[in-house]
Formats: sequence, C-alpha cells, structure tokens
Amino acid sequence: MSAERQEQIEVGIAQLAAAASPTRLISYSLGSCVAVALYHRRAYVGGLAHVMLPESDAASPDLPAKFGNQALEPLIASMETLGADRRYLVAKVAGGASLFGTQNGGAPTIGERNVAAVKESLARARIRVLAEDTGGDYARTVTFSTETGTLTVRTVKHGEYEI
Amino acid sequence: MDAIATQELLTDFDRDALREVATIGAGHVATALSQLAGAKVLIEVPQVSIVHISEVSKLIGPQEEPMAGMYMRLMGDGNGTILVALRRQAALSLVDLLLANLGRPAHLLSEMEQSALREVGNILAGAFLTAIGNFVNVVLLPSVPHLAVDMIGALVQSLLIESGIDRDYAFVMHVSFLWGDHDVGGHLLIAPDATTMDALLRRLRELSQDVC
Repeated sequence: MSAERQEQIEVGIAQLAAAASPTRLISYSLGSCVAVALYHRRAYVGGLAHVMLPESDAASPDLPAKFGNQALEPLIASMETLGADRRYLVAKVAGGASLFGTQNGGAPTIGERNVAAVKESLARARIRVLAEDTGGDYARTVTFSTETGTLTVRTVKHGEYEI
Repeated sequence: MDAIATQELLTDFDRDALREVATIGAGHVATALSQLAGAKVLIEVPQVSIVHISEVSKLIGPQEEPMAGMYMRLMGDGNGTILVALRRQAALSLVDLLLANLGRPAHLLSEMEQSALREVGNILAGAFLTAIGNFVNVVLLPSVPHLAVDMIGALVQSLLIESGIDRDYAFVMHVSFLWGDHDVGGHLLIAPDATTMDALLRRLRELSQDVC
C-alpha cells in the first residue's frame, strides 16, 4: 500500500476504514444503511463504518461492517493502529432511512433497526454520540473529515448540511 | 467458504436460458413503454448475473444520480423484489406526457404525478412478469408499487436489503431501455429469492428437455 496520504477513501457497503488527517472518509447513497463515524480529536484520527444489517452471531470476514453489532470493534482496532485511544473516541451517526415507506405495518424498518443496533454498540463501548442524522425517507451521502471531525451530509431533496 | 446462498453457480445453459426469458419479458416491457411514451423503445441485451452486495450500488451508473424508483414485491408463484428505475428527466417527461402537462417542466411531483409514476412501474413490471410467467407456466404478479425519487445507489440497495433477505450475493436480472432523446432512460431490475430462482431454473431445464 502507498505511504502517501490519500485525499479520500470510499467506504463501500459493509466496509470500514480508518484514516489520519487530512484524509476524508466517504460513504455514498446510504438508504437503510447506517454510517458510523468515530473520531479521536487530539490524535486527528477518524474512522467510518458502513453498516448494512442490524445484527448477527455469524461473522462475515470480508464484510467487516456488515452487521451493526459487529462493526464497532474492528473499526476501533483500525483506528488504534493509527494512534487513536479508544477512551477518547466520540461518534456521529447518519443514515437508517426507509426510502420506500414502512413495508411491515408498524414493525421497525431495517433502517431503524440498524440505527438501534449501532447505538447499542456505541453505548456498550461507552462512546458518546455527539450528533445524529437518521431516519426519514431520503438517501444520504456522508463525508467525514478527519481534520475537523465534521460529518457532511449530502442529499437529493434536502441539500447539503453538516452535523 | 462459499458465500452464495443459492445453489451452484449459474451454468452457461442457465445463463442463456435466463437471458432468453429476460429478453422475452423485456420485449413486452418495451411494447408497454412505447405505448406510454408514444415513441419507439429499444432494449439492451439483458444482464443476468449473480452480483456481490458490494457491486450493487453501482449496477446502474453513478450511485448518486437521482432516479424515480418504483419498488414492488414479487407475488404469486414466486418471492423477491422488483425495481423499475427511470432517470429523472425521463420520468418527468413521461409524466408530462401521460398527464398532458404541456409547457410546464415538473420539478416537484404532485400527488397525481407520483400516482402516474407508480402506475408506470406497475404496468412495466406487470408486463415483464406476465411474459415470464406465461413462458414458464407460473403466475407472477407485482405488488402495489412504492415510489421514491432519490439516489439510484440507495434505490438499488433497497431492492436487496429492505426485502429482508440476508445474502452477500443476489441474483439480478437487469434490462435497460432507450427511447426518444434519452440514452438509457429506464431500467428494470428483478431479484428473485433463492427458492424462486431454483424453481425457475428447474422449469427452464424441463422446457428444454421437452423440446429435445
């Protein structure tokens, strides 16, 4: 792998990545998927996981962020190799929408369950959630800055904003 | 460890048979669409493939491109999901044509325009499923359609994820349509579940034996 800093790393579905400033981490067109951004501000190290489903007991080795209940540990480990300390991590969460409306008559949607699984994981790891932009019926592209810790959300219907 | 939840990989025979079935379905969709659009509609050769979940968002071009997506579940003798996706401009001009909105480019869709798009999805998916159903002698129907106008990457993910199927791979039949001024204005994607796939392939093999 190149030793140069990349400008931007795309984090595809069920994948995760850690990076040091100023590399940006980006996940495109999240529907029911949830992006979890972790940040150690003083170390300028960030991580992004693109979660697809809420939970499973089985592991998917080449899809480390597939499940909300499994994605956090490998993400934190990746960040630690870049010098982050897990005691100082904070989180931002985005996604978990339901684009086509509730299909199951009142039961939680996959998006909602993804958000719940991720937040439960974060609570267990004692990582504080600083900001959240979840739910709704629209897709989101999220870009995480390891320089500032800002999560930029880009949408078709609601423009672009930061959390 | 093989991550494909369905049976063995598609053989060449399977692939050719499925492509033939998809082409028959696509022909009926093109006819229906040309009646709606008042223009000749061309089909690209249908793609039938087993797609890894990581490739799904990029199946139809750049992930963030906004498209009108009509999502339906497969009903009758099969289970799975269907997505009819129209590029935004193609959707708007189709809607304008159907509702005779002359000289007013639609930006936000009214209730009636949304309804018209859902109906378009229903008609096109219905044409495809009826044609396939007749060919293999099963009954396949689309459910009531849901509409979302949003990033195509997210719409295609919904096809696989929100249907509640947990697979790392999915079987997808993909047909693209061109009409009027548009390069590929529309797409139809169908993701039958493993059981439906097995049944479909079995029927196709039986049919080929009947002929031989």
